[in-house]
Amino acid sequence: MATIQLQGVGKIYPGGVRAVQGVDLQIAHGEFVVLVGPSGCGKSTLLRMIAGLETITEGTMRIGDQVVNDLPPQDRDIAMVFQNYALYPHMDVRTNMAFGLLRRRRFPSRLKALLNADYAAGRTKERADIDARVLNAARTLGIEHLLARKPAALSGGQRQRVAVGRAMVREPKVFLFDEPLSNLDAKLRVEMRAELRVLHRRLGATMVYVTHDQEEAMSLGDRVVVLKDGLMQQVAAPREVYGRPANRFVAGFVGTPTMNMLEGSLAAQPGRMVFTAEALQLEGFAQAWSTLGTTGPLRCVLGFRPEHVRLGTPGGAQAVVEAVEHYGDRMDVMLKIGSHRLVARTGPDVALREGASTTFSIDLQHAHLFEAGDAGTRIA
Amino acid sequence: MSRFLRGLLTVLAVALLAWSFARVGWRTFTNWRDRAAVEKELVVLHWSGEGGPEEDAIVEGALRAFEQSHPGVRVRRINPGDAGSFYTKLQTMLASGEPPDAFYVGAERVASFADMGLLEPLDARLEADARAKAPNPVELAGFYPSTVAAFRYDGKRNGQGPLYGIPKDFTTVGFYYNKDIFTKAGVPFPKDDWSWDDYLAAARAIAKTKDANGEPYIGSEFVTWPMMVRAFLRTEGAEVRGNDFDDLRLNEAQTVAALDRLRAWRQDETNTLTSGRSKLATGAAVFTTGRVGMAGPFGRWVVPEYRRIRDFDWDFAPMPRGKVNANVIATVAWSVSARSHHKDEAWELVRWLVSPDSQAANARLGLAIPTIKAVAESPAFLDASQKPHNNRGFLDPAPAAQVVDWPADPRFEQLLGGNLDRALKVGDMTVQQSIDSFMEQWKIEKESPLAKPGFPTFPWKPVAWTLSILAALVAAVLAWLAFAPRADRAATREARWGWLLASPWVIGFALFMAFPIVMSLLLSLAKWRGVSTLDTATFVGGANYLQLLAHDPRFATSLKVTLYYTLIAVPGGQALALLAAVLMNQKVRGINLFRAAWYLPSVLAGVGVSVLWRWIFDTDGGLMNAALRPLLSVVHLAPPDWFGKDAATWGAPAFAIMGFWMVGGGMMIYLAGLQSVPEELLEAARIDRLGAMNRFFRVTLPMLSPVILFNVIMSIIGSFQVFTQAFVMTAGEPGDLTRFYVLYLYNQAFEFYEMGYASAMAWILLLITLALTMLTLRGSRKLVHYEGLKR
Repeated sequence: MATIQLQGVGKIYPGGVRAVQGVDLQIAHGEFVVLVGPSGCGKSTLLRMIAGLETITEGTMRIGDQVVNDLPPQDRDIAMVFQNYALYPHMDVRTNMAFGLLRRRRFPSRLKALLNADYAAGRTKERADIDARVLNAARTLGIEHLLARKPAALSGGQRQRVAVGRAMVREPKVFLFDEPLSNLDAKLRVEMRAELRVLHRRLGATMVYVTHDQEEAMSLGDRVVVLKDGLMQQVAAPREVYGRPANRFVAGFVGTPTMNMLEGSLAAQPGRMVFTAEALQLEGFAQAWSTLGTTGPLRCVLGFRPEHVRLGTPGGAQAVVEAVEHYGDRMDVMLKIGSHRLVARTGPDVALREGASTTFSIDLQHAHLFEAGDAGTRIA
Repeated sequence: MSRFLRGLLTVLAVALLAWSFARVGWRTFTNWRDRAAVEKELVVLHWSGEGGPEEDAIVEGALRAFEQSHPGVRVRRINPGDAGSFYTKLQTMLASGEPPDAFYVGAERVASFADMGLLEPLDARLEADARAKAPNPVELAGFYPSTVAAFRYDGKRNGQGPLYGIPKDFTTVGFYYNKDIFTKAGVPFPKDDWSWDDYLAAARAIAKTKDANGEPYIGSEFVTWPMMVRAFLRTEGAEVRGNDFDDLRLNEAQTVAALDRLRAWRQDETNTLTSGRSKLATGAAVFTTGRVGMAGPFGRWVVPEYRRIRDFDWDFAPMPRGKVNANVIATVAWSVSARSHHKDEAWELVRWLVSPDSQAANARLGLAIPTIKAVAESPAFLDASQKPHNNRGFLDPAPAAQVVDWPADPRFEQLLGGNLDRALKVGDMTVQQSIDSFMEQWKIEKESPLAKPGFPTFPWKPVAWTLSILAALVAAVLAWLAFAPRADRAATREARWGWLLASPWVIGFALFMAFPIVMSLLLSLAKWRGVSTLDTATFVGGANYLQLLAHDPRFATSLKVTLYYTLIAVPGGQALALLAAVLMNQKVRGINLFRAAWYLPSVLAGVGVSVLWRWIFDTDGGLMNAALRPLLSVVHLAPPDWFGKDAATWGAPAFAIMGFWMVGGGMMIYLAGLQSVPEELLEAARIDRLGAMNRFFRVTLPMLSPVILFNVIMSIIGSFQVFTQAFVMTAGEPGDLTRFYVLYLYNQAFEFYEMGYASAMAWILLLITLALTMLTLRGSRKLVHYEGLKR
């Protein structure tokens, strides 16, 4: 079973820099897990530790039932797709894909094949198997017609497919992807994303995928691991990461445009909860929140997504429209209320003029509440 | 960088530039002014090899005194250093048509220089002086007669005919002996009339004596320079020539027998005679180690060096006697250039320089012996407070001594020495074989169509016209390219400025690269001695090439030696450089120090390094053999005699090994190549389950292949240009066993004065390198992957 278990895994570089610490993570067989976070968060290091390209300085890592802490990459039965594809420039596509298998043949010697008929038969069959596997993978990826070319003669997307194909041919326990789409243009990236998803379903293999792009993470992963400064912030399905971010960082990191955050205090007033941020007063929170702030005003951060800000509601608060971004299917509107800035997402047909004022209201039923401070964890 | 600092540096740079221009300008101006002030300027060229700064100062003093007493005459002195640099400088001055007015000439060069018409005959001037009763005439009667005879040459042989120089000093030859070793061995000190039997008995006795460490001493160092071999032959009543060099007597029984005796002493006995194993050991220096009983035959010139010996007592004994009492002299004269514009003044200067006073001043140095008998017999020379005490040992053989003369063709001496060394030094030929080999090679030289007269004068005029027209055409095309208006005015301006700014390089290229290249191509079709102006060149067509490719065995030998070297140096050097680069690519603390250490040897100067390696490869005392000896003794082998007995096998490889020491340059390029191999690729290979070896050979090496190709081609080209090392360490010896291609080219150009022949060699070298490069490029197509570069 190609499960991956990490227990208290950490990495301290010589010189004392902590890249990753205390990662506890269980990846089930056939699961697609995405490691996401800003650059320098340790996601690539963690992936490379799974691959065996970086040593593990703390904790235990198991692939299947085997502890792999001291196992070199060549013995871990994993395949990896690199950001820059890492295709061998001096070999054609076919050889690139078959390379790993060719180097590990049971019957490699041409000389022995000349002397021993059984050996020769084994060699021929082995070679045919490898060719079949390459062809199979190439067909799956739609790159059959490229097999005789060298990497330099391929486009970025084609190279990416070859790199994936090279991993597939090996039929490894685990696939590792290190930002494989970041060198592609936006359109192709979206296409390849879908293809990878399809591929995953088809192969049913365990895959670990690293990206800095939260959208990619959300669209690909069965589960998403959000990392920051070498620490896991949240491990959950994309829907939950979006709907119930574990802390202010995750809340801000996931979703475009980013979640609106207001720093202020929540206080219970008779029959209702009121959130005050300077001049702005908000109310109408979910029932569940009524137990909060009963012991006095609670310093906290209120978060709500742009799609929960409605514009032009009669009787709503006043705001100035600072800027409008049209996306065709929707608009993002920058609002200024006193000293606060909020982003609202609306349909494409609302008539708004930059510099004019408008009214707005917030659907606070879907709001999030975090502890005050940058690292504030979720309260409700 | 701060703005202030940048400003300061700019000001300094401008100031430096202005200062250097002003300085040079002022010097040029004062030179011109001074030269305009004096009526006549004489140029004097001399050397001061062993005499060092003292000799330099004495000549300087004599010249300044001459200026004092001859108002209106200025003497400009040029001293390029040792005799080798002197002759090179002399050659370039002669070729430029501005010969020095008076200069040193060694007796061994009189024939070839007189033959080329470079020297002014002096007899008429002596007679005129005598008639006019000049104030301080040269009294030839007072000179040692054999020194004067050395500078007479009648077109066939020395000793008779016109006089071409006034000898300034001379020396006879003999053996320097280590008194301490003689005492220890219980051998009496040599007497002035000792014989070869006495000499050999002493050498054998010393060879049986051991030093404090139990190591046996060596009886004697006996150098086999052609001059000294002939000196030895004369004591046995034999000679290599009859009356002149058309009548060679090498094959006579007594000559062969005498040479074979010498060979047997050296080759068949242990420690009796050492031959110089390397050029280092053949020099006078081996005596100073204190491990050799006697060293010679040397003249007076080693005295300054030996006077620095503090560890043992020594003295001099003249040449032992064989069947006859004979000796040879080496002597240097002041000569007047046949092309001087101020011959009268130059002659007066020569008279001044060989006067008794001048000679006495020189004699006090102890370096050489005055040629005027009265001065030599005076306290100035004899009253030496310093060693050697046996000064009479130099003077007494003089009446029986004759100069060792050589024919006008300078190849004779090199061929004779090289071939005899195969018998005397290397031992891979018998005396008879080496003589036969010499006779054959000399016959080829003499019968070469190039040696015969009758070639037409080189048609410089039409050639110059054609070339000028061609050059003008090229210039016109370039000018048109540069200044033709283009559609776009900005492009026109850009092109003009571009050419303007590139013009210093373009002009430099035309003058210093293109012109010499064309000249050498023209010269390769000519015979030109390189010691006279170009109008003396004759047109020989393809005769140089034909002679080289079809008839010259030494050309073939030099090519073989070079190819042998290439075969070892290129693969070995590249493998080592790559290995070093892989090591230096490790991430280890202090790696930069290691990198610098590996690279350091390749920035060291050629000559210094060569001198160092000469010591390392010294057969008996060298570091290399000291290291090899214990290793090889396990399998009962002795380390090779690199530049001696084993030179045929180990001579060229020794140079390759020396080259391995300097792989730093190639290593740096490989290191840069290794660092540009993407780390990801190697990681991908690890994940593809490749081990370290497979990763290196299947991924790193193919990625590095363009760099390897580049390095291999550069190293092939470099290996065909080996010169400095061979020139310094072995001079091509023994025989021609380490005579690399470019060294032979140098010999032809600057020792045999065959500029045309050397130019042809240069062009053949170009073709060979070109062919090898093309072959390498073609042959490596399948192996070199440029894809790694396109990223």
